[in-house]
Amino acid sequence: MKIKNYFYPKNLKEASLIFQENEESYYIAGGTYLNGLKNLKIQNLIDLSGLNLNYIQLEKNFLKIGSGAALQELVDSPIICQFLGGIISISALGCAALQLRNMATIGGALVTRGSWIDLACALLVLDAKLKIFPEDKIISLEDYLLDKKALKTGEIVIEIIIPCTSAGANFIKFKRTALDLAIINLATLIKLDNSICKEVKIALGGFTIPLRIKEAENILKSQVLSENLINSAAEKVGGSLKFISDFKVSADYRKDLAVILTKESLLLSWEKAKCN
Amino acid sequence: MQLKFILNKEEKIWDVQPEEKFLDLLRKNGYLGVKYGCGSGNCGTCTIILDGKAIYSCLLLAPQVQGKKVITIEGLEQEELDLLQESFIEVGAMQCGYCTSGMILSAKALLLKKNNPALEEIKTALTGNLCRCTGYVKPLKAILKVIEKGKLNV
Ligand SMILES: Cc1cc2nc3c(=O)[nH]c(=O)nc-3n(C[C@H](O)[C@H](O)[C@H](O)COP(=O)(O)OP(=O)(O)OC[C@H]3O[C@@H](n4cnc5c(N)ncnc54)[C@H](O)[C@@H]3O)c2cc1C
Ligand code: FES
Ligand code: FES
Repeated sequence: MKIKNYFYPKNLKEASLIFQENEESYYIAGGTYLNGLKNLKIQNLIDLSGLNLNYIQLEKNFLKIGSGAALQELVDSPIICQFLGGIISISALGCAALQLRNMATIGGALVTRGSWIDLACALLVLDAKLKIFPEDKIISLEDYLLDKKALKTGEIVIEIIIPCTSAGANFIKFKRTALDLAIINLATLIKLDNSICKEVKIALGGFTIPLRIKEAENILKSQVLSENLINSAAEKVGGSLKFISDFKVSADYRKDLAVILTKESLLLSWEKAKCN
Repeated sequence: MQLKFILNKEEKIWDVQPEEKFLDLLRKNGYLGVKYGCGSGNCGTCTIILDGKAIYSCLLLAPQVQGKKVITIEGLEQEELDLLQESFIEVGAMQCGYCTSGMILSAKALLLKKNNPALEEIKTALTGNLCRCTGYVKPLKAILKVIEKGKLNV
């Protein structure tokens, strides 16, 4: 890697202009992902850390997290620790080591679109949306993860917007060691109306781009919940997509794990939802 | 390009290549306390303190340090050794020593933020520092000892 220029823009407009005017430009936030890439033809780096995008704001109906907030800031923020039982803090705390969490940003994490991005799984069940420069375009995280072209070249993720709601939310990262990437990531959310399941979300990640498993959600939606029904939804997660083998575990193991963790997480979400 | 920053309380202006890793830059300039272990954010031997926070210098480009404050192991020792350094020696919390500067800096960053952290907090702060020799028990002991002393001072 041979870089010609390193820019320190002061605002979004300037950053975007530098991007347009210079070939082979890349934005850099924490740099932890970018620095690991060997074959990129980067000529110009545009540092986003001077844009003051590391805020965390709780408004009446939304939690807003600036794309530049470091993962450890999500772990430490009292606002985020209290938001829906702390699901965002918990998923951020599971990411690698403190040194890395002090560097990596929430925006950088989501833009990598990696299967291993723990936050993506948790944010999917929270209906997170991305606000993008220019034009303050809003796209849902789900659409963003499904569509590689949702973020156009040169566009900048400004903030992550999460609607406030009261529900039972839960996140599980299954890994072998403290620093391991997830074998399975699983997040669930349940909202009850009396005993009827008014809203349910299940997101799976760790080996696939994090995604919602809607066939499984549909089994629970608008139903009176029971352990049996939750079992069927968990089985459905196991049958919903192709599980892969890698050097850590076999596809069968991973599939069984997904079923068991879905069940566990749904039961926990259900318990939490009852307390709301 | 020119990099202006504070290194162990001294202002530095260094000529750097924008693609240079900050770890390489430090070592090139004689700061050999910072070690190259994995180069990929997995081992912690390259840990430094940047604006009060422990980070991996192997994943940091030199230009990212512009205008910031850096502490390396060389900066801990003022007139005498830092309490953590002393304690590591006293307890014998190192064998080959390759992980030690990183380990001490992780502990230092924690103690800068909090003078009385719980054992779990110390463990979390050290998760990113692998040690293949000590088994972590003695480093933890050494850190706890410093905290104990701190308590006596109050
Ligand atoms: C050893 C190691 C272990 C890890 N383990 C985990 C783990 O277990 N779980 C986990 O979730 N993560 C983990 N990560 C972190 C993850 O893989 C990424 O490295 C990190 O999240 C990237 O964040 P960053 O701020 O450093 O992004 P950068 O490296 O700065 O950028 C990443 C990409 O996003 C682009 N970009 C950044 N910000 C913006 C923006 N605002 N708008 C548009 N584009 C942008 C950049 O151009 C680049 O292409 C690990 C990383 C390492 C190195
Ligand atoms: S050399 Fe930086 S973490 Fe291993
Ligand atoms: S003392 Fe040898 S690696 Fe820690």
